[in-house]
Amino acid sequence: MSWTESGFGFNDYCLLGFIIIAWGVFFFLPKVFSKQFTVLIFLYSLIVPSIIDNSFGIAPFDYYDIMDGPQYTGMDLVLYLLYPPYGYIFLYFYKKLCKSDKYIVLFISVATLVSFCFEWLNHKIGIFHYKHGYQIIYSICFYLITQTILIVYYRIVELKH
Amino acid sequence: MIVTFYFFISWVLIGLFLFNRIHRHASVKEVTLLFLLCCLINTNTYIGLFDTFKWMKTTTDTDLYIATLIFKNVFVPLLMCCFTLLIYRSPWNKKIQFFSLFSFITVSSDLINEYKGMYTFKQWNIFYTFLYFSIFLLVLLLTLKWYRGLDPCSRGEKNVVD
Repeated sequence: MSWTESGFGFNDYCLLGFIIIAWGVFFFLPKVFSKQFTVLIFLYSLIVPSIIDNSFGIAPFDYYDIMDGPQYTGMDLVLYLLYPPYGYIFLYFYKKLCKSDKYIVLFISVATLVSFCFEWLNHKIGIFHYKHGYQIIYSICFYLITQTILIVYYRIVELKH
Repeated sequence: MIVTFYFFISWVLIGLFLFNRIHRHASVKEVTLLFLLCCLINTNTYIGLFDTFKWMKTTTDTDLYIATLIFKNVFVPLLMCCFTLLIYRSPWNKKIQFFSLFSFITVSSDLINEYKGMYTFKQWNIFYTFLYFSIFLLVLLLTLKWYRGLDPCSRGEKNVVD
């Protein structure tokens, strides 16, 4: 397994930049969750894109490629480093901003919009390549579902203690 | 047929978790950790076997592919969670019995999958499957032990959510 399919390009540098920024934000944010729950947020944020990529991104669906092409390279794995801090930042802002339940739908909608815009940016710089009729707008469904599950899970587990 | 089979078995395992309290010596967090970790390891392992190393060849038939997805993303993680929790809390003689049962189920399901055409072996065989799942189980047991040590005041046994 090689690191890239066609050499280190603009998309690879951008990805590394995004990862550094995301982890930088995570380290500077106050740690408001227990260690156990932080591990769970990280795992959840890793597993959801991993399952989606490995189900819809390969044959027979094969709706998109990550980084340079269809081959599974080292930079495809590096991409997954981007998701755990995002999961933490998402729940951090949920905890800080959603003091009342009536704001949850608005919060998830805004977070979905932010995620969608970030995915569009990634698409433009060549991190995601859609094919076989897949359109970026379909990703909104995935964001709505996964972010809602994360909040529901947080409310079930963390708030119980 | 095979889709229904795995769907049913997965449903049975979920039922056992929810109603028969397999998880009674673990907290919700611990069960979630095991399930998510199983999904992560298993999904990426099968991708490596199918795509990167090409040691197995997966089906292109949609029906069988959905069965493969249920198998690797739902059935295996649930099965691993069940047996991790059962083995973790049992005395040694029970541990060996559970491990034998676990090995029988994983090897049988692999044989069924190959027989039904969900995937075919290239540079892979049943013994590797047995080794893979045994090491996988060991990793989960160690992870559970590590996770309980992260937050000593919330050990599974004292943190039962039935």
